[in-house]
Amino acid sequence: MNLLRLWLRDLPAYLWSGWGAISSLFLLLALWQWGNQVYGDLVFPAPLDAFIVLKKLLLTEQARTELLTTGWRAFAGFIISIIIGSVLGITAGLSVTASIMSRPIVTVLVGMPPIAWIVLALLWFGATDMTPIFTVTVACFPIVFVGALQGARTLDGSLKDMARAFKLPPYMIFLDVYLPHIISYLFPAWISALGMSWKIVVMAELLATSDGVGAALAVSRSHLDTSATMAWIVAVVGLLLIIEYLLLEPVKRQIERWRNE
Amino acid sequence: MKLLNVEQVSHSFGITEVLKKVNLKIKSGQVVALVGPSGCGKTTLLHLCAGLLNLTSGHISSNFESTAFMFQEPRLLPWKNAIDNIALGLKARKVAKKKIKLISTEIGLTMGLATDDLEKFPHELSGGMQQRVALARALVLQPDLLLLDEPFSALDIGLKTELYGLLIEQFIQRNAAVLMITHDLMEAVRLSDCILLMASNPGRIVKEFFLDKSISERDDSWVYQTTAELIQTKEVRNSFELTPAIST
Ligand SMILES: Nc1ncnc2c1ncn2[C@@H]1O[C@H](COP(=O)(O)OP(=O)(O)OP(=O)(O)O)[C@@H](O)[C@H]1O
Ligand SMILES: [Mg+2]
Repeated sequence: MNLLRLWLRDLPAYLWSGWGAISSLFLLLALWQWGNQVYGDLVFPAPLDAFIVLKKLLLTEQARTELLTTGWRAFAGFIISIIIGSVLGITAGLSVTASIMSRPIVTVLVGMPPIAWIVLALLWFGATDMTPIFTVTVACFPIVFVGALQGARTLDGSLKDMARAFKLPPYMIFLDVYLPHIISYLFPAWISALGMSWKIVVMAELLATSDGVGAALAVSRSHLDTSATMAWIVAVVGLLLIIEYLLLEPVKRQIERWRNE
Repeated sequence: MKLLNVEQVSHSFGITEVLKKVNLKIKSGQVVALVGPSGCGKTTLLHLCAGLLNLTSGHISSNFESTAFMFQEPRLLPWKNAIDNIALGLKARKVAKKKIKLISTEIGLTMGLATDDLEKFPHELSGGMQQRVALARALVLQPDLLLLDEPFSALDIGLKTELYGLLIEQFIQRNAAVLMITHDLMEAVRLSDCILLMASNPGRIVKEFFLDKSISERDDSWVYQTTAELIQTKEVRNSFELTPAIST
């Protein structure tokens, strides 16, 4: 509740500081436009065309369903991975043996190409919702796990002693001494995991399902419809930008106000 | 009678012996100052008294009901503002929220912190302010044994004098016991009933100086004179590796 109030209070100032971000986005658009002029409409449709197609798309019931489907799959995979990753990562980080043992496993998980997971998931789950959800979960898990692990590993021993000297009960040691520190590692990991989940879900859908944005992309590719392809890409990236910069980034700022910039 | 009793305590980090057969006693109402060269093991001894290090040889017993500890570094929680840092020990004792806020604010103000400083995070406070927050965090618990590791080292003389007064009024005259480490001999002379002088390699207590004059009756000239006499003693000069007294 308090967080919400602070979020609302700081939002205007934060949005104002977003002009820089917006101008760099426009730079990207300019580059895109230039690409269009060099390579022509078929290869690289103009941004404006893509936006017109996008607007038309968004007005159709079907496109919104696709976006929702994809959104829900990404979100489900993301949530599962941050819950499992955070809990396991913190637990492993609190024990030296566990954190040393988990390192190679994490390296394997990070090194495993997502496409390999998609193939495995297809074999296990078939063309169901579970395939993209599973792929997202396993792809995001190591990112969150490593963040949580490092957060728990780097706890300050001198603060632990302080907590002992002041006879803090276990729940306070966890909530007031451990958690804020761990969160400062976890939150950035969650944000990277969110970006990852978006990318992976579209890829998994493109290869494995018949609905969702990924599947729609596959259809527009088979029709050689580059404007529609670009429109979908813009939709996916735009949603990610909105979630990250309007929701997560301000929350992160509030949580980490205690840090010296 | 409440008593902190340290008997034949030795301590080693790895193979280096840091403390060797240290004995000391503190009764309620008594202030003991621990002085000695840097690195001689004062902090280690205080941590042993607080149970923050495992005791490997010797005995430490204490029947004080509540003990508060102030570390040599502030050790504040970086994600809590000054007032919540001060309140930490009270929160652990499950004191009512309103009361916590009230007492912590009061002690923060007595420490010479401004109302808006109390809302600041540790990284927004100066070194001396952080030290005062750390001191407030210990004092707010109203302990009957205070273990202080260089509590005034980062403060100016004005603040020091003010806080000496506070310590005398609120603790020493109310029969609390204080064990404090200091590098300032004059501070030790002003505040303590007994000064324990340590020497290094290995850390040990080489001399006890008892000061008989009651703390509230000590005036500046007495303090200056006694400090000067103290510095002239053979033990102090040896321990701090000063050249022998009176030369050229
Ligand atoms: N955790 C530790 N591990 C290994 N050696 C330590 C540790 N803590 C302290 N020492 C060593 O123990 C000795 C005494 O340290 P201590 O901190 O007790 O000194 P001190 O008297 O408080 O010094 P100062 O006045 O500079 O604070 C030092 O030589 C130091 O190197
Ligand atoms: Mg020390």
